[in-house]
Amino acid sequence: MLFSSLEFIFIFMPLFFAVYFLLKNGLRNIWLLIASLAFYAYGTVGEPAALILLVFSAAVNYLAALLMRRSARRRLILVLGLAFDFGCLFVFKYLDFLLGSLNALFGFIPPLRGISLPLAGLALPIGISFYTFQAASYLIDVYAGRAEAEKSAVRFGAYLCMFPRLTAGPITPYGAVTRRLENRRHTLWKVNSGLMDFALGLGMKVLLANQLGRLWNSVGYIGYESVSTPLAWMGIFAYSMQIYFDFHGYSLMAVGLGRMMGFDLPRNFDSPYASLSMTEFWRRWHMTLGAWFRDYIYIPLGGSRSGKAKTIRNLLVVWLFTGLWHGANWNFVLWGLLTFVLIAAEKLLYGRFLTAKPALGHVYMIIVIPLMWAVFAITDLRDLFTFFGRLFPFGGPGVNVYALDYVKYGKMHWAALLAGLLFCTPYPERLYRKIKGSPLCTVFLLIVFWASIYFLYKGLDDPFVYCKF
Amino acid sequence: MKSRILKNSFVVLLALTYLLAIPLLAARLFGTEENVTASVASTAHAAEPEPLLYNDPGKDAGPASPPDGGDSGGGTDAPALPDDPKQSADPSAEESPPEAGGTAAPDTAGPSSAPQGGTPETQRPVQTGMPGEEQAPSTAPGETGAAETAPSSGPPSGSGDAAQADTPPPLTEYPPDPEGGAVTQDTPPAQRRGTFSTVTKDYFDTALFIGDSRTVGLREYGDLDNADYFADVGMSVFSAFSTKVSIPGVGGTGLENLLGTIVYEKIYIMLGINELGYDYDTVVTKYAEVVGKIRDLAPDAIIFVCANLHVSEGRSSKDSIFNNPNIDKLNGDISRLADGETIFYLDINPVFDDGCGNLSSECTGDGTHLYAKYYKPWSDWLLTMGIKV
Repeated sequence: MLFSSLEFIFIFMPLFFAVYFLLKNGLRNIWLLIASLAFYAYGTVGEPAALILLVFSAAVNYLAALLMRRSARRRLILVLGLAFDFGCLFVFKYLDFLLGSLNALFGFIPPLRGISLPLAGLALPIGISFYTFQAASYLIDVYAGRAEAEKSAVRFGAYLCMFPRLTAGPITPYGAVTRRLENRRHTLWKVNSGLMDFALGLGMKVLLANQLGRLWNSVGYIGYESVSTPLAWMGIFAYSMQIYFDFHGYSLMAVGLGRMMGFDLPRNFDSPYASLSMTEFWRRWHMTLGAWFRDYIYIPLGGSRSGKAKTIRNLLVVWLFTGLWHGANWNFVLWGLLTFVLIAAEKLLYGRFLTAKPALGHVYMIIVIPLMWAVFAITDLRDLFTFFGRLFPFGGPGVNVYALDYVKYGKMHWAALLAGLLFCTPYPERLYRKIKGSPLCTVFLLIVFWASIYFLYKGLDDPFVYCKF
Repeated sequence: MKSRILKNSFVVLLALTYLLAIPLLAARLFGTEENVTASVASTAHAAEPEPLLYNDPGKDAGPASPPDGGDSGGGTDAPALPDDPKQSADPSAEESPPEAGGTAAPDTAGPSSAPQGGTPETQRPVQTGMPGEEQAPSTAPGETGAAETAPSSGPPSGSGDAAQADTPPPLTEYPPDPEGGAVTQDTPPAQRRGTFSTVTKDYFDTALFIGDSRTVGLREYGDLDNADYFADVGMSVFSAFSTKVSIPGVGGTGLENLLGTIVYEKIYIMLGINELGYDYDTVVTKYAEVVGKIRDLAPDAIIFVCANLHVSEGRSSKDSIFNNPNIDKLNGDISRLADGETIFYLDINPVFDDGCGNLSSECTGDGTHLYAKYYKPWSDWLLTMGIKV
């Protein structure tokens, strides 16, 4: 069930919060846990394995942390717990990718040619990439003494499964929410403010991301080889904005839902498109994921304090994993590697010029961001090559190109493109924080909310790009 | 206190508006089947070019791998073609000799689509488009009468095959329609009798295409830029005479005014996909009305009523409205409007068929519209399906 679905907004949400606020404080975590499992079950109808895995995973991590408290063999328990978490992630997300790649490899090695390993064909459970990372952070924090092992199964279950961030984050280390799980204050302002964030996020998702997505989809439907160069650029800019508003909107909704319940979930985006370098971009884009990789991989490996060579190695490791985390496909590996190359080059070569001259940094990012998203968006490497051939048409004209296609699609989507550009700058959100609670803001958000509902009602919805994990 | 209420007015106002919206949403969420059907249909109306609702995830095959004849054929028609060579050597030995006999189908045509003719008969005896032939008498007695007596007119009979066989090389690059036989088999009488022949591009100097988004695609990506296109996304038989379209040299115009302004010698109509989901009989009646009105407005034109392009297997199997059985049913009724004299039926589907009566998934990204590059073979095919005036 997506946050941006009528079922969620008009059935789940009112029901959940009605019961939630009727209950006494002590029962609210149980209700949150039950409702979250129901939320997940509804979203994975037909795949009972997903729900079972979630519950099982919660149980294993809960018990592992408790055992760690008492046992002398804490390290062994940590290793086993992490092996379980990442083992599940590997089997469900990467096994077929590995087998498929091996099969492809065998094709190149004569003695092995003809060998074809059977694929497992497992469906990817929704949210597994997110809750696995949360569970892992919990075990590591308990092991390192940064967090207490949770004694209450309900509280731990509510932490791992809470529906606002179950399917797509924000990834929150246990220490950050533990206090709130035990004791949190509910105020009308928190409900109001959370609901406003929810409405804003919904608007970003439905009114911007979905509309921009239509433009990008058109490029695919025309066929990458047949778009004009202006349309190719228009399309990839549209996709860049789509993925931002999609995920940023989702995160705002999640944070808003959390705040309504009294949680302070961390924000995930800080106007990333205003960054001056790739390095900065990744501190401001999907911040909770970046923080996870920083805290649990980069710094344990030595971070940037063990010399240049090791720093580069650590960056490479982090970006290979970040790429793979985004999807089990070679284009994501390529995407991670390219990000690594850019970030390493910024560190070693030109990063300081970009930050010294902001105009230069902005120009650099305006070119780099859409190109990186193209590598991210197009999972077939041949298609990717074709598409780059249209972005940079040195290889000759495309196939059957309709030269004025960009005029046609520009006329269709100019409003979403302009609004998207505006909301990519930091200014609208700065203004929003300033006037939040004013009548003007209230009216604006009411319009945004009901306009979004109207669009959903019309059936122009499509799933979160980021839920494909 | 006052400021606190004002500050928190969002939650209050939202709750109030919620209550107002509940009846509306209840209808949507717990709506009856009819409601759903209607809303889906109207959505399709508005959003036909990019039906996001029906995103077809199976587009991995991607545009980078255009299907080549041999390949795609292999997957689909293998069982039907044990004696392929013999057939291509001697088309008249097919299982439908009476028709083929009339015209000396050029054997130079080589292994194009025609040779497969007839074989799938046993494999797929009834395509949904076919009932047209059997049921025709009840619905359109006049036309069928003509159709039944037609064979006596000699040469024209079987020239549907001939046209297929005549097909110039471009066609053979595409799926050599393993169901080629289906063309022969399913082709309604009118098409079979028509004197279809290959024409040059200038044939379309005086042609008008009327249609929905698929025709818009043909205008943008096809080769026939000398024709006029009265086409708009979402156009249906219900809106054909109320929509305004910009025509070069004429400006924004309705169809009636356009036909009064320019005398077209050939008029192609391809409508119907947007109408699915509406009451079927009304659609068929309205379709006939539209064709009749065009006939009246352009009395000397040859009218081509065109089959609606299929949708992909992925979409067809999931969509309760926009699926190929529904499209075939409608196409069958459209084909019955043809009289073989001035109104002819054209069916592009075999060109892009996946071998099972669906639009090949290699040809489409959204399951409904062709990739741009496939509009070229479409216009090439139209060049082989001219009717000499």
